[in-house]
Amino acid sequence: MGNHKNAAKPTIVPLALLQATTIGPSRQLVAQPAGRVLLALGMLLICFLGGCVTVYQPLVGLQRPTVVDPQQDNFAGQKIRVRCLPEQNLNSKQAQVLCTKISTMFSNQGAIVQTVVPSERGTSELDDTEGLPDLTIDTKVRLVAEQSSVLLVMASVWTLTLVPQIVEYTFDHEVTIRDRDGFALVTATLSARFIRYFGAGVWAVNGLLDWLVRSPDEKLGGNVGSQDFSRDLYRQLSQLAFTANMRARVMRSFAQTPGVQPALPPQENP
Amino acid sequence: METLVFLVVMSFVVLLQRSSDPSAGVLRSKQDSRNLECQRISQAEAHARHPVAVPEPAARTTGAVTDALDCQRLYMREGERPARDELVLSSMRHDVAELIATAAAKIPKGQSAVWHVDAFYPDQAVASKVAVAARTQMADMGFTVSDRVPLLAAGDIAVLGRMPPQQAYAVACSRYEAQGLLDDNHVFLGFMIVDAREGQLHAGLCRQGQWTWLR
Repeated sequence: MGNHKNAAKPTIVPLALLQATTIGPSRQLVAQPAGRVLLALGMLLICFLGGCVTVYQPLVGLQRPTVVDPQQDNFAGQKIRVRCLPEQNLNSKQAQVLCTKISTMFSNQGAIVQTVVPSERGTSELDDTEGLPDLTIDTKVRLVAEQSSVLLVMASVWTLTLVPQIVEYTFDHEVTIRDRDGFALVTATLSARFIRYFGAGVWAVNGLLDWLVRSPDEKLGGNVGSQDFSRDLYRQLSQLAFTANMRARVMRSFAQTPGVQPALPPQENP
Repeated sequence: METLVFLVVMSFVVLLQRSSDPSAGVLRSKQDSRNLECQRISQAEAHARHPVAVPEPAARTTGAVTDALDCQRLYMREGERPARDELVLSSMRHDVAELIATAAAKIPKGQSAVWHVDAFYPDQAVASKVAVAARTQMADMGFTVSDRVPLLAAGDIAVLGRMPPQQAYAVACSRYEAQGLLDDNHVFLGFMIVDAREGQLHAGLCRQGQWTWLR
């Protein structure tokens, strides 16, 4: 438990989400105020000089087990519309990047995907306008907590980063999946926590542990946090979409959607 | 030399302070961290749940928001049982209650019904758990629940087993009616998964020879 800055303030742009899926965890963008930019530059400098370690911890929703294998054709012929809604902590460009990644994931599973990123002015950019989608997936990302300690920053600077600076962020990824009539089939909140350690000491100790002690699955250094988060997010999104798809089919008593011939494996019947 | 000792001591102090953090690190493996279910809650809520560990929020605040990370150890550790079983069983209570309420709404008001309940799931142990949970919950809610499950003849089952689920349950329902296994005031509530890749329960209601999918 600890104090943190008011999450409602639009201070942080960097999306751990985007960092996790696109950029490395050590690259961070900070919002417009000059002080914050300087702080970010300072942190980047420390990263280059001393090293950063970003630890990812899945919170509610993200650590649930999944059955769907994202490598399989789980949505063959399904039309899925992915809408990434820009928020205070996610501008249109970042939302577009997120949407593209999610779109690629569903395309790889056989879906025909449209992406929509409503712009900050209220209009929306639609890649493809052909027909109503079977599923519409709305995603919103919110920074819900940001914690750091000024004392620790001072101690870190004073000890030449042997004592690490620690900054942590918690993001909520809110997902709502609707059917073609707009009925909400599934809603879920996927929470992720990222703890970023800046400092030569922690970087060296972690590097040694990764090298000498930890098994490949247990490593924490490098890009591992990003990869783990991406894997969890993609699995959960796939499972949620699959759940929504099955729920939609059951609710319309398996009436076929024109043009879609989903194959159902045989099940244990009464 | 003193400076070096001081720096090392400082590092250990920080490390010790982080020892209670639920994230992976020097003292906690990633696997251990994943076996915790954590969520961020307000300090007031955290105090209500853990009054000894979390102090009451100050009456006067300086504008800073305080919160807590509340972690519970998972009842079954990751990988201890199949993912699908874990998904179904972890939300069973909620799902079954929701489906019972939906099923009950399908019976016209003022009409009494005797409920027969069964579950269809690849793992027989899980199927039994779901069926028993549903029967118990329904009995608690005041429904008349039978412990008998209508059974079809072996020939029927052989034919039904070759049908896709969307047809099989409807045909089974009409066979229940045709064979007199369910009369007019007896209804059958079935819980099942339809696709091997899903981790949620569906349900259907068989009443007067008509099968209705509930969710």
